Amino acid sequence: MSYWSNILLGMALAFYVLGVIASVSVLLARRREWISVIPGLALAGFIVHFAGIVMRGVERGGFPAGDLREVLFLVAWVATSVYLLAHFRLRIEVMGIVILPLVAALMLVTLLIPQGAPGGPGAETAIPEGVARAIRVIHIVPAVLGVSLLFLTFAMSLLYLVQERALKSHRPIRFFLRLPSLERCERLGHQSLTWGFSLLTFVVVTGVITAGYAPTGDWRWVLREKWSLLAWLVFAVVMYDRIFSGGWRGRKAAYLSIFGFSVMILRMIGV
Amino acid sequence: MSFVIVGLSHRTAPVEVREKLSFTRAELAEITGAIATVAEIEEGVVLSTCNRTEVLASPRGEVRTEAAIHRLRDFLSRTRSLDPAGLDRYLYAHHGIDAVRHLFRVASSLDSMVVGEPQILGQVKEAYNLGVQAGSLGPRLDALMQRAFSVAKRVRASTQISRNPVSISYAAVELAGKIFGTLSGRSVMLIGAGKMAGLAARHLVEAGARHVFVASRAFHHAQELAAKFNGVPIPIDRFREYASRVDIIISSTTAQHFILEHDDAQRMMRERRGRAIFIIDISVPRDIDPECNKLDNLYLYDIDALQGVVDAGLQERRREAALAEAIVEEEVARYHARGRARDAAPAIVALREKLHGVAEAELQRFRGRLGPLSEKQEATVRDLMSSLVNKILHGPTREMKGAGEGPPDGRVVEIVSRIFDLDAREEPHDTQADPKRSVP
Repeated sequence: MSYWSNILLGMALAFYVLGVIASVSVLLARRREWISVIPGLALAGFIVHFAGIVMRGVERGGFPAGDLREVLFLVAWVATSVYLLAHFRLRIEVMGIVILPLVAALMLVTLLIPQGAPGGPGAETAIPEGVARAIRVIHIVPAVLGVSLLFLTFAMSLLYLVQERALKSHRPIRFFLRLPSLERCERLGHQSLTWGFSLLTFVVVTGVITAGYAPTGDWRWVLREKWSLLAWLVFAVVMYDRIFSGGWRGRKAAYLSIFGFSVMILRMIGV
Repeated sequence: MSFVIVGLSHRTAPVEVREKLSFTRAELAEITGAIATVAEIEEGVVLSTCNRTEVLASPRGEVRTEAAIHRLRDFLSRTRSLDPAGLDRYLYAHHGIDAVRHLFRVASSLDSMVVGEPQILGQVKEAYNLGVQAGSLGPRLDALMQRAFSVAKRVRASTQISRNPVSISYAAVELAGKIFGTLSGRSVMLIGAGKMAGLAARHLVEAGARHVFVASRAFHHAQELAAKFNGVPIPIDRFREYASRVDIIISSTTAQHFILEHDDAQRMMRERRGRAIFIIDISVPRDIDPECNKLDNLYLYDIDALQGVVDAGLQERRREAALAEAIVEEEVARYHARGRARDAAPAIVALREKLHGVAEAELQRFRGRLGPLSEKQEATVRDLMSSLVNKILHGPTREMKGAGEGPPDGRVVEIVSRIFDLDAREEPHDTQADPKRSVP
């Protein structure tokens, strides 16, 4: 039934993997000129990926966010679009080297997940179809957007740490790739976190409400969502400190953001 | 047809000689105009920088390379009325593909004193523009120099050859850029009004930094230096309160102990609420407690650390230079191959036309003796002639295109042209536009 969408999504993964291979060769072979093919490969993957998602929608006859698999495909797709936007608008060429492997890994894991695994709210509850659809939109859409923005936060945090370590160790020249300045990493990281966090907050709230709908009194969500809540809490700490004390700018904020992101991603793929 | 370069550079001549052959822009324009009046030279431009003066020329078709080189040597010595024999030992001369390679390497900054320095491409472009203005630049040099520009651009885009700082003050700017991104609107404080601190500050201001504060034990020194940057002199004992506000500090006092201890810095960072600060300590003994570098968002570089950055940069440049050389070599080969095919084209056309013309003429001459022929026989005779000519042409054509193992530099074309008495080589550009012109 999902034959065609799987083929398309597999092709998208192939493009992303090619992008990752290009990234690795840039790093290992020090051929800087190859870096220009990465966004091209990502764009090709992005387009095929989109076709795959549309095809999935056609196959299931509705918005393709019914199970965990579909949601993760959406996340990977929006994350790629965030990367491509950031690349073409902000001209940070090393971004692909950070984000594409993540996207590729996410795609790979997702393709291995069996179909129909519970993911979206309502997937395991018996709520009325109309309500489920409404929840799906107000819960899933901001969730996907928020998570994708946090990909950007993660990438900028990682680049910040690399750059910071190089500067502290007095060996800044060893990177033959132009990394964005600390200031820029921090600013972009903060902006994406602000938006991503806001969306995530909304998602957590709707998530709680959704759980309240469960007529069977199923409280497993608390257990399931404890990791989401932890990720949310970590991001909240970063936001709070950035706004109110300013003390946790820079390195610590970057570490925390990466930690929060990792928790969130691991929770999403259901580890 | 080949290019010739004659000149001297830091590789062949000491500064006493180089300075004699350095020209102002006005002089250069004049000399560039004069080169076109040299009888042997068809097109020419003159490149002059602090470390190099050279003439790039394309001699007229019939002129031998040695004669052209000789004339250019004379030409150079006459620009400053120097003894040609005395100048000779400092001059280098390249011709043919070596001249092309030399130009590509110069434009790509591989032949510069500081390899990778970015000014040279602008200077080559300047030579080009002067050539255009003086009318001494024709289509051949134009094509070659355009090629050199794109090679230089490719080298710059695909290597890091121009990216790494080669001096301490430039390293400071580079590092500041890695921390703050753009430097525009950033504030700098100098503690101590030394010469090197002033130089570093100048680089930072040129990169966009505003608001320079100068603190010095001798207030009039602070005033003097501050005036140079439209800055503000401040008394030395107030530097701590400014330290929590500025983005960059350059310290170069003669103090014998730390003027900023770890605890001071910690307090300062609290006041800054985590905003990053870049501190450059170029004094010996050091002004700033090295422990400060352990504080978050504080980046402290002492003189050795800066020198380390410069050394690493130079090393990186050498590595990148090897990469750049490979690119240049690739481009030279490509240019060479293209040039051979391009140069050969008119001669090949001329040869074809000529042999087919001979065949046609002979056919006409003997046609009468053959008596009446059927239409089919007539066609067969024509096919026979045409096929014969094409078979004969096959070998020479392949050699002229450069596909064979023949001698380089269009010599084959020259020889074939001479053997078959072709005059297509005189003006390749015109014959290319109208290949029939040279057919007898």
